[in-house]
Amino acid sequence: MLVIIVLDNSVLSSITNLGILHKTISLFDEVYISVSILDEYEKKWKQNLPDKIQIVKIKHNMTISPSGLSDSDLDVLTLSINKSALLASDDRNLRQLAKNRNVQVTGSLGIIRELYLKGIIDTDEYYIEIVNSLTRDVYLSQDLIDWAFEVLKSLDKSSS
Amino acid sequence: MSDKLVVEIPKEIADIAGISEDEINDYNLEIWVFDLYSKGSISLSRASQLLGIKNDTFLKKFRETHLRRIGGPKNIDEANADAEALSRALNQ
Repeated sequence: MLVIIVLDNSVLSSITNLGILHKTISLFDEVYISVSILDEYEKKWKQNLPDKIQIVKIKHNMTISPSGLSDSDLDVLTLSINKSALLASDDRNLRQLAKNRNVQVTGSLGIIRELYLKGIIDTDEYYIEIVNSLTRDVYLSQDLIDWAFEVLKSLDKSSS
Repeated sequence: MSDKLVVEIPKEIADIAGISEDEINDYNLEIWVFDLYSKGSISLSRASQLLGIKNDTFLKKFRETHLRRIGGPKNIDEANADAEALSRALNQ
């Protein structure tokens, strides 16, 4: 069975900024974004998008008001529903809306952790650097930072 | 009924910020949007849309404010749910 993910704006820009976009898409057979998302970036940014990311023209028919979400956010949710795919989003409103519609959700932190567990982020130091970089843009509580660092192999070694 | 609000601020504030009267509406809107985005009340896409700029331009401006945004899982339960959803998708 194909492993498919749909990326929203928040995760797409986050993992691009962290330099792990190619590593992330290597986890999946198919990676999708909507045309409306792509159109929200400058031309130069778009030119660097990996070929593996498939761009789908889709239009939602949802009515959500008042909303901190845009039409392109709802397009991406619709794409996830149509493809029965995991949605990657860090936007809390979109995450909640997706869950209300029984869409499985993950985010940048979950992706980073999975890349480390799979050895794609291949050293503890690199993992720590990526998590710390994420926290420069996204507020994470100390509990969540501790959760992220629980998987560190060096911590396991030092406690045995 | 207008879809815009009129906001009054002391002129002194604009003087301190070095903002001219012509620039004040745009500056005011920017502050509101950055605040809402940092609190997680609006998405990246919505924030960019409100300012009439592209996402990558918005992120560049936002990073210059040294603000952080609230996003991702709210707590450990949600973080675990994120991790499990990803693991399930990868191992199906």
